[in-house]
Amino acid sequence: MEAEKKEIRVNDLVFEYPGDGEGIPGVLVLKGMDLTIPKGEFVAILGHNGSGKSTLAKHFNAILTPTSGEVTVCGINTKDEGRLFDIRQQVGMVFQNPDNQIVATIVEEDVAFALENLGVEPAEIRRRVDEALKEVDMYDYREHAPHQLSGGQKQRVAIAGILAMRPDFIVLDEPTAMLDPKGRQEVLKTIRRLNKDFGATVVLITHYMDEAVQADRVLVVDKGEVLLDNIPKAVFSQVELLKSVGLDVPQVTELVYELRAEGVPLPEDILTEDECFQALRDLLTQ
Amino acid sequence: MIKDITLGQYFPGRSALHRMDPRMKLLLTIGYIVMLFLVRNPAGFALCAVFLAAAYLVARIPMKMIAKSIRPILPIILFTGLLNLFFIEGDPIFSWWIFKLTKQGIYTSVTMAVRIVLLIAGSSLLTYTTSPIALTDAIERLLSPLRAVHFPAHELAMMMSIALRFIPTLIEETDKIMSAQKARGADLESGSLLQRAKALIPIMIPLFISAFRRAEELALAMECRCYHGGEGRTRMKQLQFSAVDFWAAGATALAIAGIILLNQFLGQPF
Repeated sequence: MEAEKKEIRVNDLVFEYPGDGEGIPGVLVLKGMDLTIPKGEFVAILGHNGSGKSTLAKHFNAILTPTSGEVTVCGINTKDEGRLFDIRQQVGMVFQNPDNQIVATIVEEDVAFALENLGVEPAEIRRRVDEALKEVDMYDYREHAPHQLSGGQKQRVAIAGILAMRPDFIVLDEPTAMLDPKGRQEVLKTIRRLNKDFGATVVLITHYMDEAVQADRVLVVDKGEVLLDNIPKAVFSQVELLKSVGLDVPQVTELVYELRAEGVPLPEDILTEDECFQALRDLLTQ
Repeated sequence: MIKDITLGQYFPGRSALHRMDPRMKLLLTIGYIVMLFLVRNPAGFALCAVFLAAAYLVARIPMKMIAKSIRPILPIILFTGLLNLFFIEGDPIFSWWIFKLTKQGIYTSVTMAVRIVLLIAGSSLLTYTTSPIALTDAIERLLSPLRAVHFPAHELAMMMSIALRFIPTLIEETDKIMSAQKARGADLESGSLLQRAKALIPIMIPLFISAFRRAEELALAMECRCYHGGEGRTRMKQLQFSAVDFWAAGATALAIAGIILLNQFLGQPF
């Protein structure tokens, strides 16, 4: 059954921010995208500023609807306004600035916000809130005020607020862009754990290469089109293509690329520091 | 420095008063204010003062907090006191030019001052023992019957709690903007009042723009979490009246009855 399938399916998605009909022309942001995100996957969407990656993300939970083409979430078309809350419950979204997405003055109240909106029974809300807070490791802070927390902690609270809805998909739009290195690590660890231990489907939108490397699959978006869609190793081996669309490659990949260009015999698909270290050691001890 | 501003005047604690249902506290505070305005004789004021002192003792809030909450409105108390002192008609004790000191005047000005002090001290006790969030919650629930006449009780409470949520964030932001403008040579601390007011413009404008941006993002995040107003919304924390609430209500009712009896038997001194 097609409709039963747990996936986000994007078919020939075109989106244009409408102009005002007089002086200001519309802006064509997405120019025909096709992709499918199956349940359980950890997908990173990479792209330069203005590549359309955030606009794409906003289509996943019907904040924006396609100008043409269609987006379906678990068989529900995002243009179906009657099922808006079904879609938003399936696809949770976390934004860049943790300060601007926390609504309540107490951590646990904020995590409960979505469930209260959905009209869930109080006892069930309590149970799910505690569970979600434990999953992001913020249970001990449940009675704190958001402004007492660090950036990374706030972002984890925001993630818990989404988790409490028990969505099939979690879309994170540059969740680490405003955090310090420690906060970034905390949030990334949480995201990875959600995917590995709790089987959540994660769509991570980012421009940090080292974050994208950790995904199962990397989508590179440029000028409103999907440029690459493959496993990280295959994507990051295309150093020149990535650089041509204004993206950096991870430092390790860059090093290997430069060394290979100089004729040093190294394998092409090195991604992590450990792999690089091994390869270089093998080479030098030969 | 600007961060030291405390939010509300809430003193966390575990006393009986702290544990009371915020709805009951709010209602009883209103009851207490009504009681203050029913009082017609000094004995009644004494009863109110004893009642309030007992409440402070139960809440374990130090009495010196009363002085602290009175200080900002001291000029108002003095002003009304002086007006009443010299402009109330009655039996003159002393008179000079347009001023007449009368017995009635002295009585009115003293009772007015006592009434204001008791009023402020009583309502401060509510904010000392109730967190702003609990208070917002109580207001929402007490006003919710008015939804039948399309009064936006939930929306009002939501606005209040979002305001509370963003006060620390915006204070922090103001601090940052002030530092940034100072780093560019803005002078915020000297000059005439007008000059200082003008110096605030480069702080207010970025603050407002950022507040609007925050509002937009917050609205988006709320939509993503299925917010659609108060309809069909449940709450994680349910408010429940307990024994303490009924004891407090009983005590307040007794005090009001006492005031009415005192009014009946002692009447008004003038």
